[in-house]
Amino acid sequence: MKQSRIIDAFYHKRWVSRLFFFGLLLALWESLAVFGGISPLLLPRVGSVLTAFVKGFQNGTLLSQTVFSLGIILLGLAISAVLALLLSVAAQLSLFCDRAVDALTVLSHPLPGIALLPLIVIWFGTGAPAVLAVIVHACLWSLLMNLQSGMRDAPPMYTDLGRIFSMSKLRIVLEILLPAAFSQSLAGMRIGWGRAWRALISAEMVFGAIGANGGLGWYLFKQRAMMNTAGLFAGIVLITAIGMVVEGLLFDKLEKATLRKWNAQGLKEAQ
Amino acid sequence: MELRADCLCKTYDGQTVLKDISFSVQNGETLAIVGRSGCGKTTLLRILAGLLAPDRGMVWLDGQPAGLPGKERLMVFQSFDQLFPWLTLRGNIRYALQKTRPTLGAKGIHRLTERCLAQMELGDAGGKYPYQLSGGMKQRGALARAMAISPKVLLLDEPFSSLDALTRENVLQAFQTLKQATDAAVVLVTHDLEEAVSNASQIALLHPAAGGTLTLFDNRGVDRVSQLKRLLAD
Repeated sequence: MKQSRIIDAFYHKRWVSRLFFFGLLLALWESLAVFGGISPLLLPRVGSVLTAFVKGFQNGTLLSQTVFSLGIILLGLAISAVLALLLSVAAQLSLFCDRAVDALTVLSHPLPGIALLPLIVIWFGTGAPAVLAVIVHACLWSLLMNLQSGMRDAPPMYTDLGRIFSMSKLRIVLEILLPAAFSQSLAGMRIGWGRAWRALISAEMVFGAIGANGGLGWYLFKQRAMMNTAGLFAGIVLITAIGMVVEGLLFDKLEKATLRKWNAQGLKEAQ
Repeated sequence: MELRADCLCKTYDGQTVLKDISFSVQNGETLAIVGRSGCGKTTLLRILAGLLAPDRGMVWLDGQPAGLPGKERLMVFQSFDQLFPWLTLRGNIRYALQKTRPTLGAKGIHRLTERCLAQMELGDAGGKYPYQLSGGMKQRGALARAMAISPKVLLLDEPFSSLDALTRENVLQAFQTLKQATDAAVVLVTHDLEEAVSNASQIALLHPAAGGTLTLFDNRGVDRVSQLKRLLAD
């Protein structure tokens, strides 16, 4: 009975199966580190990584780098959100702007942020503005595309109702089309977040320390330079954990809460 | 109050959908427009609402050109999803009132919202979001919103189709309540002849084969259903 309940939970609750495979991975890792004859410089034991992780937080390094990285990514996301909002509203109000935004998106969206790094260094140097530029590029286009597609996909009768209510075009966009596009823009924000998080870590590694901090990417870079593999793994684990928490908890919960209102079909698909 | 269509014409891709459509509806009267699917009924309704411009002809409201869309000519759509999903049912009605009758003030809007919800027997559902409502409740919600706006002309685009028989009866009852409350001139688009005959004082048959022309029938004392069926079959 108990056994069948565990099997049921394994197949029906994702967190149970994930936990199981994480545990399996850790066991495999530890076995390789202990019995595999691999140098600890290449593959440290799980305990060493845990110690490096705790030490990193105790001496404040990991915490300050995390706060720095999260602060800069939040600023980047906020800038992207404002830009995406302004551009999509403009695109809704004028066909000329719509075509201009379309051309800009088609050009910029496929361009990997890493390809822009040399240019960004020339334009912005290697400080915070450069990292911000990378984040904004990574996140803006997916957010903009989703926002626009959400507005385009809004049922035409919403706009009809706005016109019947004698609302101006701007009010229809702000009060009707924007809320109608909310679930899609949330999906865009989710994609944007993932891209921006990866871009941020890469940019921090390339640009190095900005003042006293350099973020988690710079932390990884330093650990590699010092051949502190356990510290390197601690940083990787933290980056993964932050990504999982934001994706799995924040966005999942937000999506379920809002998709439920916006459309029940979307909720089913999300589940 | 009179809604008058005067020689309305509309062509899509060289194909005439509406040709010289003329009729008038007085307040308290209902004109049902019947015809086969795709014959241009919704196009005609959108022109009457001001949402679509005719190629030729005019829509008149009390002898004045009707012009841009507005709260005087309210359209109720066929789709169950015409309520804004991010607002509760009560929120939908309040929002419509804030936009169309702002002079009522917050208290007036609140009172009218509750009254319309109660009249449509939706008093308990006011706090629910559209996804929590059944199809029939959503349609009654749309009718409650229309009642609150109190238009001079009510344009209904097959609001009872896609409903099961029992729910349809319920929504039809709500429609009668709405008609009495607003005394509006009603144009009801439907493909259900029984529905047209039992609810309308005039019936207009739209003929796509004749290039989108309209034949008007006075709906009194004759077996119109059989007659309309014959004409539709031709």
